[in-house]
Amino acid sequence: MKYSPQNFTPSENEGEDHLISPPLRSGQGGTGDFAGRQPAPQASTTTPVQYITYNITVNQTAPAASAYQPTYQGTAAFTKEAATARSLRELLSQLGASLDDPCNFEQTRAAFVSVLRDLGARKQAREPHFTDILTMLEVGFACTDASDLSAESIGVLEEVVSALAHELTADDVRHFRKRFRESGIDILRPLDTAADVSKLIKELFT
Amino acid sequence: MKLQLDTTVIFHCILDRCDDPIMLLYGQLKKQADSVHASTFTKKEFAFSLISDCCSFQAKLFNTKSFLEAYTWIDKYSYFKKRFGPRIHEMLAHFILEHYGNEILECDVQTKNRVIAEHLLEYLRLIIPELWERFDNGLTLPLDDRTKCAFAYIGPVEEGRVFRIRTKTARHPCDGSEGCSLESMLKGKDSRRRALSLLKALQGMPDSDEKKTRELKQIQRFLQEFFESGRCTSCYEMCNKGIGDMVIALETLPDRTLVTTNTKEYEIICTAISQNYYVISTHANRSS
Repeated sequence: MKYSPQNFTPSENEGEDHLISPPLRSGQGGTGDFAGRQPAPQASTTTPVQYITYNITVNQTAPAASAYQPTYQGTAAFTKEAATARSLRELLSQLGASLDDPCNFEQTRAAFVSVLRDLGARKQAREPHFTDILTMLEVGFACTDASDLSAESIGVLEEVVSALAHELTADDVRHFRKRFRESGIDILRPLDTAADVSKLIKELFT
Repeated sequence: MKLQLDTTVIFHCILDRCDDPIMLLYGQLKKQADSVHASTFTKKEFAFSLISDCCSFQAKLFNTKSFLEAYTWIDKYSYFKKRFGPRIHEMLAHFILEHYGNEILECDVQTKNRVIAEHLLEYLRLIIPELWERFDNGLTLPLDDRTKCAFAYIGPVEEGRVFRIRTKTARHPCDGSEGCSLESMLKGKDSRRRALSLLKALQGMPDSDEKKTRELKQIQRFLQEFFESGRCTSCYEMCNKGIGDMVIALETLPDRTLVTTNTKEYEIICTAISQNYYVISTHANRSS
């Protein structure tokens, strides 16, 4: 069943008797996404593959070879986003050159986040995964220290920024999350703070 | 030394907060370890605790568009899940602090409430699959799969703008012929002997003993039924209502040390089944 705002109200699992989301509607039986397994990207879809790790052997049927094809390559589909992406890439080049200069770095980063937030106006007109990528860039980048960035991570940021001018899919988001993780940009970083929670909420809402 | 991590420890490993005393203690333990392991059942526990809490919070934000309403609800909700509720509560508030700083303070209450709800909704969309994918990070080998828990292979499923945890799978139910193999694991010679020891230990504890927690009473009921009927009741019904600690302890291989932050249940269970364990606690570390 395809989601539409008219037919979908998510569960909130209220109360002990409803800790788990309600059962799926018909036609939504799951087959799994092989999370946690060790997929063999080049393997045939039908041949059982033997995985050997140290002294243990795990027999598994290989998952389908990755069907992921980036949709963010080729001619830009969105003109405004393409122009903004060019500006952002220029700022990233400057950032790459200022990793050892904290003052310059912070100024350039602030400019980057500001330009990025301007793209927020395009959220309504674009596909949902555009919003995901914007959030990923903003959260990942705004919360990463200069010392954690490298030429490689700047390269990944450039790749993600370029993708904004193209139609984006869930696979693109998954791909970029993985690229972020590999390059040391941590989207969980905002959670790494020590704060008095109740005091914070009081300050915000009183 | 081979370490077997339970869900509570993996939770800390995933967030890997620099000020987390549990991680400091775990780091010292890990230095002495030859390998680090976890199981598919542990991953299922992770799905039905932290990931499920995130999904529920996200759904509440989606439906109400109000941070305060969702936040108040999390307080109530966490009553039922004492272990994970407060953690979610804490980490999302951290997000607000770090991400918005002073600029949000200038808005009126209504705007703050709406804007924070929108941003948290988007952030949760990003981190729910990320948390799930990071489960295996830091493990030496692929997950042990003695229970063949199907839920460990599914994880959060995207439906519209929110994620949810599926409760039924193609590999369910727990009939021993397909999917869950908890029943056959318990019927194995070694597991059966250990489960019987646990049952005897629990039967020897009076119900009034304050050490006999609600979870331990549920484990006792489950084992009594299992030894009487030779069958497991549905894993969906039981595995998510209190027997998780027992399953994780029983599936841990005897040459491994089970590492947890949960003293109450594991102390009783591991002692009864003669399983090596190590409790990481900020107060006092206990092991056997």
